Amino acid sequence: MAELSFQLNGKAVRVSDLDPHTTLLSWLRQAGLTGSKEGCAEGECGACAVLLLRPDDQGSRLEAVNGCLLLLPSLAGREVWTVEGLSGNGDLHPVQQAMLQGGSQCGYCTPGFVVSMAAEYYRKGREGFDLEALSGNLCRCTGYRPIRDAALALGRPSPEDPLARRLSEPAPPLGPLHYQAGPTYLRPASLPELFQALEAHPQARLVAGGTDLVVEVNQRFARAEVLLDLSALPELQTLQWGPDYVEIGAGVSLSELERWLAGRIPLLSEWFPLFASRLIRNRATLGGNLGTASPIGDGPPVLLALEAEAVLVSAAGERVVPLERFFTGYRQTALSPGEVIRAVRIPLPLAPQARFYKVSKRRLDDISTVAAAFALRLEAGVVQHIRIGLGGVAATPVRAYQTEAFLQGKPWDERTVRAAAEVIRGEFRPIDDHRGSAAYRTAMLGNLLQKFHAETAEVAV
Amino acid sequence: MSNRYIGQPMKRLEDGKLVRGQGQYLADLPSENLLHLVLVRSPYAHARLVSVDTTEARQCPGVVGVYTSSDLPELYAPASVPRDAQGALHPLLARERVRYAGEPVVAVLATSEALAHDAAQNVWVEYEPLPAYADVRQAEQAPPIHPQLPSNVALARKTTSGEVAPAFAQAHAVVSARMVQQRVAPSPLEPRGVLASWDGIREALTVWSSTQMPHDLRSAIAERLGLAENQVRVITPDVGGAFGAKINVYPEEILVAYLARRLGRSVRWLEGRSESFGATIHGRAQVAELEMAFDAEGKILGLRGRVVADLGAYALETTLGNAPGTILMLQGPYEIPAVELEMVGVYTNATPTGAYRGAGRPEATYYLERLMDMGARALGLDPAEIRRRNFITGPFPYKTRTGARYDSGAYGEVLQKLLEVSNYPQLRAEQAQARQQGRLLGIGLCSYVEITGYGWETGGVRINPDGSAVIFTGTSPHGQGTQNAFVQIVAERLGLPPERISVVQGDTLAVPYGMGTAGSRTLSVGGSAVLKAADIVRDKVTRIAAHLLEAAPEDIELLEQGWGVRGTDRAVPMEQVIATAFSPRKLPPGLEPGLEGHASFALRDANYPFGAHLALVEVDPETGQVRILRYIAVDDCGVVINPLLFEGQQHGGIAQGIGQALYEGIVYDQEGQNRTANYLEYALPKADQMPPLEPHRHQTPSPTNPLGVKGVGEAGAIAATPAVVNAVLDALGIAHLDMPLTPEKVWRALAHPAMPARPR
Repeated sequence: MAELSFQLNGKAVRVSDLDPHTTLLSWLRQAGLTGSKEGCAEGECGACAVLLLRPDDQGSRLEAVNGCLLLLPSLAGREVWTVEGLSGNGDLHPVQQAMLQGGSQCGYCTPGFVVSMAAEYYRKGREGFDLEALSGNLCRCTGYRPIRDAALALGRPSPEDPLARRLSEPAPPLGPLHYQAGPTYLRPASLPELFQALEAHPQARLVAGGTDLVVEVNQRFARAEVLLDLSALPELQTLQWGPDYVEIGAGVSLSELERWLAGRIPLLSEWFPLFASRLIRNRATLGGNLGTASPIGDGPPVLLALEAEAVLVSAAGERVVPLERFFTGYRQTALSPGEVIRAVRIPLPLAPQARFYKVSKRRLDDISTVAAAFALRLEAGVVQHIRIGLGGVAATPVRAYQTEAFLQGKPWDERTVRAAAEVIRGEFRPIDDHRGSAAYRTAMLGNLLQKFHAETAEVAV
Repeated sequence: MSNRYIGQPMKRLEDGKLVRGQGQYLADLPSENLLHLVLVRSPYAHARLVSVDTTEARQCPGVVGVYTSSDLPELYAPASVPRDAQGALHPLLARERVRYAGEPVVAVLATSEALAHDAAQNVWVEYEPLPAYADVRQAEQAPPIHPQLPSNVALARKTTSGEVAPAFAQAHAVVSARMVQQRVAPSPLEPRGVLASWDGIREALTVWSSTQMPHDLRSAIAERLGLAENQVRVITPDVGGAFGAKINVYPEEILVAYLARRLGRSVRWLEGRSESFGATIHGRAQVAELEMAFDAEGKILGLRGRVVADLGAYALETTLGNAPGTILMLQGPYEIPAVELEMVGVYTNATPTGAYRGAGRPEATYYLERLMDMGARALGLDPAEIRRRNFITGPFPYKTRTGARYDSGAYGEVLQKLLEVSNYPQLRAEQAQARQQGRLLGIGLCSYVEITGYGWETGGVRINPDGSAVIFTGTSPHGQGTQNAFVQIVAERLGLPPERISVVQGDTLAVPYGMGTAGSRTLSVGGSAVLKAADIVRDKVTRIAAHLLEAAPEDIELLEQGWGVRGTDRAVPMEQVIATAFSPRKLPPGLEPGLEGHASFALRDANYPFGAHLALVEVDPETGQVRILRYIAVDDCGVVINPLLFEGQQHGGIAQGIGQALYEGIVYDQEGQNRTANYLEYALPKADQMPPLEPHRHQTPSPTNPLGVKGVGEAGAIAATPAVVNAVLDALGIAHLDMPLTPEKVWRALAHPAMPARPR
């Protein structure tokens, strides 16, 4: 089939015979909806933000996502709004009204800010305005203050607001898709369909949130014969808080996870805003973050410290691989052909003290020079359990086993930690690059451990 | 003036369109029947072009043409080359050699952008790599990258005034430093783009370009294509930021125009973001070695040293201007009795540099303000005190030893105001207290004077029979909203409601002439021309009103309800004046019909805005991360026409200044590869890094123009960088560190002050 359809600004649209690598942004702009802008085509500037409707326990909700990172077929059966859809009847939308007070200078980033702001405006049960909603939008003219002022001055949607009304109804469920126009885009809706597709197309590129893959499509013209979209598989959408572990479906978006956890895993709460912007978190998944196996990805260190396990599934069944054995080399994983990550399990109980640290130029939504996650359990001031996950210091994300062993059973005091800082500095041989020198990275390892000690010691007293 | 409109915080008229996403930027123009240009760019920073094979590419689907330099006439992008400089012009496509990574080598035209990209992948270029000199210090000594030139040194000048050697010999203290102004990317959110369309019937070319200077682009294209200027029309659609980067006429703009004419088609080129990091000019890129002599009281005795500017591989229009601008402004707001300054501009194997928000003034201000803080340290003086002791107090106009002529200034007053509004003594007390708790707080000051406005400008005002009005201006904004200030000026002078006034700009067919937007010139030059044009219309309105009221024109005044006779209750509404203006028989003898005025205005002398900024920062001693806690600005840019626009410029400029101080920096590796060519690697400030800004103003009207205004577009970018760096160094208690002050750099300075800096 070379046709698919979705809802755009409340109207059904059909797309046919377009290469499945076409992004929503380029399609919109070709179709004359030029309000969404291309500023970078890599998900960093947010000028292309659009609203995507997704299910939610009280109906549905709107999420702002980067239009440049959405492959058109991934929208099949979904509902999308662009900046043009917000002022459909000619009157300015309240968010647009708020932006009139100096929020726009050159105006190029403005539609993206309007969209990000609208997503937060419609968030059910919000108190005030969470500025994190704007974390994925760059502005070079205003210095952001007038935009923040506009956001903070926003009221609430009226009950007659058409979009607010839409949100009380459920979002349409995602069905299977088989779209072929040159390359093939498959979206299986069950595991048997998935395995069949993997069997038939062993070289298929897996697409979860697409935040990594579509950057490659846009910037390096990567093309796949077969794209295999995992987003309609219910098995990858699980969220369970069991007695022994928390299970997080590999295809759950980070924003979704964040909302569901509501702070129950503090280490992850710390990690989310540092990992990526809201626009990216609305699409990115844990499965995708593990699957790309980047040595500098921020997800693995956190999950390593939590002793997470990857649940892998194939036609042959499931197997559980501890994360420390999942990364087998530079951008290589333990996944076998025909196998996908179904979920991530985090064992319970959680270590009572845990922290995530990231050193990078801007701190938030930035490539880490060093990322470190620590999880600690003390008994009478003695280290009963410590797990240290690191990124940016080796070819893969790693655990600091030597340092963990050194600390095990020792008193959690300044002297021990000072000695442990030396151990961890000696444990890795990071590389020099333009993001940071080996010396700095090495030194940071020790410093972050000491920082963790200082912060946990305070809590202990 | 009654000031119903001037000085009021009126909202921008164009924002309704922008917030709806209805701005029309270059990529939003109708794109049917276009040919799309994609450029194959050099992956090498320096190489000999051995061969180019375009056979495969020509056979790709949708391809209309594939061009190398040998398929084109020998054309170059324009450059401003001073008489004493060596110009190395940028060819449209590389000829024989490539001199920076990203230099265009082959042009591919196809019926869609995607097909053009696909074909570009099938162009095979053989390069013979040559040693690359992306580092200016290496390039200065290296064999010339332009073999026709004697060396890579394009420009070398010396400025000497006063007795420098004795000044240093008598000095009580001398501070000296080698300071790097790193390369930064202006990075407007809208990359560049150009669309050109040849009309074979009219024999005319229309060019749409995301440029700051449509008339300049028209001249450059006409000259190179052998067309008369009346055959070329340049239109700027909405421009999504520029900050100086879109002043230059780039090779792509000429190339697109040339191909459109050659093929008789419409051709478009859109710059991608990564492409932009290599193909659009970078700013700053200097190394300065300077020393300053002080007497025992902290009075400056002399300044001497050398500024080396990294020009990049070729000269574009603004490339050779930054270094002279730096020297011109190196006296700052201070009395400096003797200077001896050398400037050198050097070609390197890197993207050409050029004007970026401030263009010379940020560099000069940074060097000076760093030296002032070093002086304060050396002499045990408070940074505010050492500045106070050295300010120029007049009389104005004041001629500096570096060649500037300050029109007006009150440097001590703005610093005083800053210290008061920030409660400086209190801040210092808090800093001392924090230090006792192991917290590293730093306070940084910057006093600055900058130069704005140049050239001349046209302005026009036309009132239509229905009472709506049009302003014509040769300035051409990139998002600052300056047209709103023009509307306020005309509304003020003619008593028209602002919402009935529109502005025509950025169209060479509609506007008589113009010099665009640059150097914070729009209001003082363009605004003055519009004011003059409005006053021509006002004069006529007054005479018509006088006729209708049977009074003398001298007795007519503008009232809320129309035009009245001073001292009486007699008045006519504006509508009646306009109706009369369009009814020849009702006009008094000697007046011709219509209500329109055109004027031009030349700014004889530049004007010199000034101010003082303060940053309060905290440094995390464990990781070296810097957080700005407060940022306070006092800027004096003369009369303010619209405080909202003014504050918008303060905010935006300060954000860019902070970006340079803490985050931004283009990094080239040993091979001359740009390692920072996307937004993940090149860190623009984001919303969460911006401190709450506390903007203030001070007003000293400028005598250089009838509005009394000076420019405000660049002040923030000039002042914020040194203010923030001074604050971080104050927190660290060390003399100097080069920007950007990344966590690693700060942490190294804290942990290992003796650790050598990592080579770039």
